[in-house]
Amino acid sequence: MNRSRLAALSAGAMFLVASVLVPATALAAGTGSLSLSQSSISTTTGSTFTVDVNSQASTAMSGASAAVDFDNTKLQLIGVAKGAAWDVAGITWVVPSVSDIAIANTTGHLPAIAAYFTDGTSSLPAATPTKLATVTFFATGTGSAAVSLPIAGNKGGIIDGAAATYGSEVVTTSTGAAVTITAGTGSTTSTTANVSGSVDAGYVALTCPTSVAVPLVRNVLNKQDFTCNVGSNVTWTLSTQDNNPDPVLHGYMLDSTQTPVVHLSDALHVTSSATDVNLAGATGLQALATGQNNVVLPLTFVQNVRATDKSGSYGMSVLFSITSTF
Amino acid sequence: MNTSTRRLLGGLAIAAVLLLGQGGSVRAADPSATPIPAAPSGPTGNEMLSVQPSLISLTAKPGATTTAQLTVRSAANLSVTIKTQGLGQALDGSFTALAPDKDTGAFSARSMITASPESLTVKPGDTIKLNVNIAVPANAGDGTRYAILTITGMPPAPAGSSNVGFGVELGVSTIVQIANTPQHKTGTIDGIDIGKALPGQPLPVTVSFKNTGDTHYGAVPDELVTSATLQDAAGAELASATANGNQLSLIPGFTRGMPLTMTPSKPLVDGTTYHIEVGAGLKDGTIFDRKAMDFTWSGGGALSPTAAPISAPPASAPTPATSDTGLIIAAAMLSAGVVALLFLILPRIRRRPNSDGGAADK
Repeated sequence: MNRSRLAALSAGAMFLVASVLVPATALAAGTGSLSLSQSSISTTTGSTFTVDVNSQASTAMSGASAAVDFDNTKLQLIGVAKGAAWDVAGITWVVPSVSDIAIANTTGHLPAIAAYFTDGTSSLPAATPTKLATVTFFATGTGSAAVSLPIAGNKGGIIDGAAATYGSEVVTTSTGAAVTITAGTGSTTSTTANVSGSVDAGYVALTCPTSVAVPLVRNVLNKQDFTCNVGSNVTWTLSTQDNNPDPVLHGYMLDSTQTPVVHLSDALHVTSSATDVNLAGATGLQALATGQNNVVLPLTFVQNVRATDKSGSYGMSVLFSITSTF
Repeated sequence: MNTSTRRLLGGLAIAAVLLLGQGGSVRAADPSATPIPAAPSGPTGNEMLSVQPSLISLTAKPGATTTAQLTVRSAANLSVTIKTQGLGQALDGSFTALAPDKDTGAFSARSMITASPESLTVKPGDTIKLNVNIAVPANAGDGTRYAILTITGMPPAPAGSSNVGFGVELGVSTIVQIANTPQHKTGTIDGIDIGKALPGQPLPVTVSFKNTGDTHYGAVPDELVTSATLQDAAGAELASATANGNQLSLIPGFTRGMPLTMTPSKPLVDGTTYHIEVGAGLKDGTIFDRKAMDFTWSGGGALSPTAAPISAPPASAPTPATSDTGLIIAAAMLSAGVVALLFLILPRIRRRPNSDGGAADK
């Protein structure tokens, strides 16, 4: 095995094992640096800003890796994008996973962004600032916040790409940035970036009578038929409830003209072909029917009036609610 | 593994194959995709109250905001109020709006959503645009959040002999998937309820399944599958049933009764003990939970139901699914490593040292 292949194996293994640079050889092969594109950043809460992570070495580079530490009490990491200079043919990337970013926002430490060649020969030129990644932050708190690129503990570094020392560790230093955050007018919990989604093509519509007259004859199970038209092109649930939130009187027809207010002894029911909803059975909505697309629903109010119920002018307001399901 | 267990697992496996056959064409939105598209036409405008769209589904990173627009049309004189409420689910699967004091779950998007205007008066022929603002907190956490926008129209008070007035309400469900976070998919079977049945009639079984994950099931590709097998005391299978499909949605933190109808190959005999095993999972083969129960059949119902051991463990139950792309990256890295090793080692194996002891590889 020649030296270049050995070096490639070394470089590959280093990145594969822990996504960070692990020096496999003591051969010093030049010096390098990892730096942020700005050493001083001023921003306001509720704003986003980006900062580039650059790599540069006195020798050709076959790989670079950066970890990012930040003050997560004032900054939240929004995203990491590959740097175009390293995003070339034959490169292998280690980019933060979705969970890595989520974890980083709770720990303040993003483990690794890395790019490296595995063919044992490719490299990027020496003495050239080379953007490894662009990191986007969102400012959530005022004050000073540091962003740094840790090197110690094999958290970041550069791998030599020169033929004679290919795969060797480059002695690397790093410089971070100081972020000054002042109070802004934007929300500290929101940004306009990075949202996608869809509103479905569906719709829901409901047509019911505005009112009906339910007969109230003593000793009779009084019934009044009516229909509600559901208009939709999706699946839906139709529910109903008494609009009166009073937990004691909820579900009962009331005569509010009397003092104190009186109610019928039995609750009003709403029935569909398959369901009998006792409006006093729950304080919230109760499912009456489910379906899909346009449906004309025959429904019935059912009200029992006892001989002992007081005479009066009883009434109620009933809500019919349709919700699309998914 | 006995026949029943194989059948139970087979149901889940077949469902997984079906899902794969669908090609997974419907997936969570790409975070880099374009913003919300305009909604197409739908209602005629002759409805008492209509709203379009009926569902808002977003993928948003923590800290992100966006605005969706709803079109409300009316063919009646109504006083309309718009509220953001929690999305709840009843045992029968129906969605309900939860008032703030009842919306205490960890997966509520209620506080993320505001609508304007919050109240208005409409008359026949009116078309109103509602702006819905969704702001995801920076510390939103993992998974998906849910809420419902209710648009309630109240007509004038009943007149004349009418004594029951109607209000109409439209619910627009809102789903906010937190981008770049794992979508944990877990669940447990909390109960098996065996209903009454006349001799020779199908046996109604309801499996109570709780979504203990942080994202919903039911919509493609996360369609729930619930399977059950009924055995006699000797282990012979008497019936099996499977419920699946995209109509069995279940949001996190809620329990839904999954109805199954089992038709035994021979009538159940009074005083005889039977064994039922149920499993719940996703069509992709993920098995969330399995439970078994013994019961004695008596008088057309199940007596003394007691938990029982599963006949046999799954042969290859998949691990709980997540959207952790870290695993994908790790797999890709491992693959790259293997390729690199093959690239380096194979030539050495194939190019054996020359007779002079020197390596052929120059």
